[in-house]
Amino acid sequence: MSRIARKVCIIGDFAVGKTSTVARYVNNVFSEKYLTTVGVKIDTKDVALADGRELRMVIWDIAGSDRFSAAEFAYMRGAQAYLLVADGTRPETLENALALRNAVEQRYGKLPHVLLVNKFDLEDDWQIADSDLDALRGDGATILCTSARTGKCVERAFSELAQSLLGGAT
Amino acid sequence: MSELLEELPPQLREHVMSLLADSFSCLCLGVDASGRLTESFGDSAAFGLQLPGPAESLEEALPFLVGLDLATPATISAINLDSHTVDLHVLPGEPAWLVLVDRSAEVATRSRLQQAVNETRLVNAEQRRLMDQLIDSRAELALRQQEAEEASRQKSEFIAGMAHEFRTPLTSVLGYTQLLSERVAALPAAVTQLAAIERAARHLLSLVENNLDQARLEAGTLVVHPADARLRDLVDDLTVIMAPLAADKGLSFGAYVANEVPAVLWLDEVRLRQVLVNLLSNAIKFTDEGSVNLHVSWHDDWLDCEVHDTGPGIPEHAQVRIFEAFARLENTELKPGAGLGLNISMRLAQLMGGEIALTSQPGDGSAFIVHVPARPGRLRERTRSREQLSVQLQRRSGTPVPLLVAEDNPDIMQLLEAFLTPAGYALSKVSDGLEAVQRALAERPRLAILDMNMPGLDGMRVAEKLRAAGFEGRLLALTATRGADHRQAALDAGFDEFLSKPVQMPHLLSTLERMLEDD
Repeated sequence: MSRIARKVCIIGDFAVGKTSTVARYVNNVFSEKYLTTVGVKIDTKDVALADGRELRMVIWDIAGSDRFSAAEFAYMRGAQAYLLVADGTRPETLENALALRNAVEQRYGKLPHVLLVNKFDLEDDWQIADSDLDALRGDGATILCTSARTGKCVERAFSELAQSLLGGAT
Repeated sequence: MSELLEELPPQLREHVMSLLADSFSCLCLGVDASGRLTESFGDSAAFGLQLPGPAESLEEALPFLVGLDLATPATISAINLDSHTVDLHVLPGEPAWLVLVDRSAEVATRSRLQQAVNETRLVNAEQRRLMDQLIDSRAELALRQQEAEEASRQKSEFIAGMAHEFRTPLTSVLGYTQLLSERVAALPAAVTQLAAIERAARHLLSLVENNLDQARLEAGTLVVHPADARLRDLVDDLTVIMAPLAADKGLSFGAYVANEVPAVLWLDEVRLRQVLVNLLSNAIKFTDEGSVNLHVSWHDDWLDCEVHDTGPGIPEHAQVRIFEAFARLENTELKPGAGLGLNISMRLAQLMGGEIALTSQPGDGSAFIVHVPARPGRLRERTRSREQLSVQLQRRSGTPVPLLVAEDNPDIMQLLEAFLTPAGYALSKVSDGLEAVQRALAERPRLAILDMNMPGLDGMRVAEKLRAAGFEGRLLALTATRGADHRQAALDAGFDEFLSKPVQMPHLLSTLERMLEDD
């Protein structure tokens, strides 16, 4: 069985749940304790494709930041797609995610990506209006409301990303 | 550092190099164009890495190499591997070299600092969010409070408006009933029927008044306005109103004011009257034989008005409940009432700074004691002047006393005429505010009764204009609008007395008498 390896990145502001999202996807675990990522953490996940091949996603979980410096741009080099994560309880993290997307596109051009608005389980604290997300969807963005705590839409997020990497072969 | 090393003598350079090598853990990997490992230097196990054999792809063992461009020099810092954190340096060439430098200790320190920084930022963000929520909540609360106040104001206005609309026709109903009773005194059946009409009308009136006061108490808009009040006049008025009601039921009625009660007391006469009317009416309503008595005493700036009856009494378990709004006792369903009177009376007594106490035994009657603060007033006790005597002499001699009456409702005007003319008054009648001013200034009567709502000019403006023009006669406001605030506004405008419709004719007559005596 042949295997294709692809580098993908997960980026976004600090404490939006990037590492938790990867942990939920790769190991199906969740921890309530917040642990800051310094630098980059690398995980892999092998995905069986519909055509019999296997996709190895090498996931670069980049330390949270509202803007990229040279170090973060270096992490993004060679990535073929990325997940952009915001925290639904902190509206400013969505603005920062969109700013990061602009920065990435300026440096590396348009790459396939999916925007995750995370912490959907915190309904009472949710502060992002559906209308705002609909407006972004209108611009062609793929947006999912996710919860690393419950696992809601996490699998689907990576599946969408894999699909965009391989042109619908998942 | 590299410049320094070049400057050092070879022997020293070698030593420094060995020191540097000891302080860095380093792994160097040569990689060919097909991505296979050609050679390596350093202890890969110390980095937690298991290097592949020559035939295997290096990317399988080191996934972070996926997507890495070996033809471009690069430094990628702080890559967290399973057990170590490394900086990766890419040196292009044939083979290309990958240099991994262990940064675990340094990154661990940075992690701790960054963790503290991020946690602080999260706390700050949460604080900002809570502050925003607090601000929003307070704004929302203020808005809701404003809406509630507006709703309450509208409700009070509606009830006040309704009460006003009820009072004018009730004045006619009660007044004409009373008038007819006198005229058909020889027909016992008619007198009985008219008494039934009067009872029903008074019941309707008390429901209206109680609902209005209840609404005001709930809205917190009911306030007391203490002023100088002649307590004995109040008791006389109450006797005039209550004695006939008691007599109708075959009860004896007595009102007694102790000698020590000052002639003038500082209290809200309107509200005290309301409380006593309510307690006395209740006592008469629930007493079927015997007596109802009012005893008034005073000591240490406190006034006690005790209403005693020989009615059925109130069981102990119900003595608190009867003061609750809408409370009715089991054996009182057949008596009319909405159960608001005692609650309103208690709240009025409390507003005045006092209370109502109750002592009662089933089968042994009840005593309600209104206990309110009342220091002596500032007005001097009345002494009869020669002029006052002349009024009385004038009345007794049969010379009518001139009286201006301004009232736009023809039914009420006719009613007033029917009562006042036989009582010795000569009425000069007007139905318009402007005309009232002109007539009063032209005729200069000793007393004018002014309706408050009249076309042309309302009663308040009429009083102001008359006082401004030097009119010295007494002014009595007659209005369908009640309340201490209206009363005070009327007194401020220049009125001497204020009566609410429907006024009982004996009360009107005694008020006129008193006003002329005071003149």
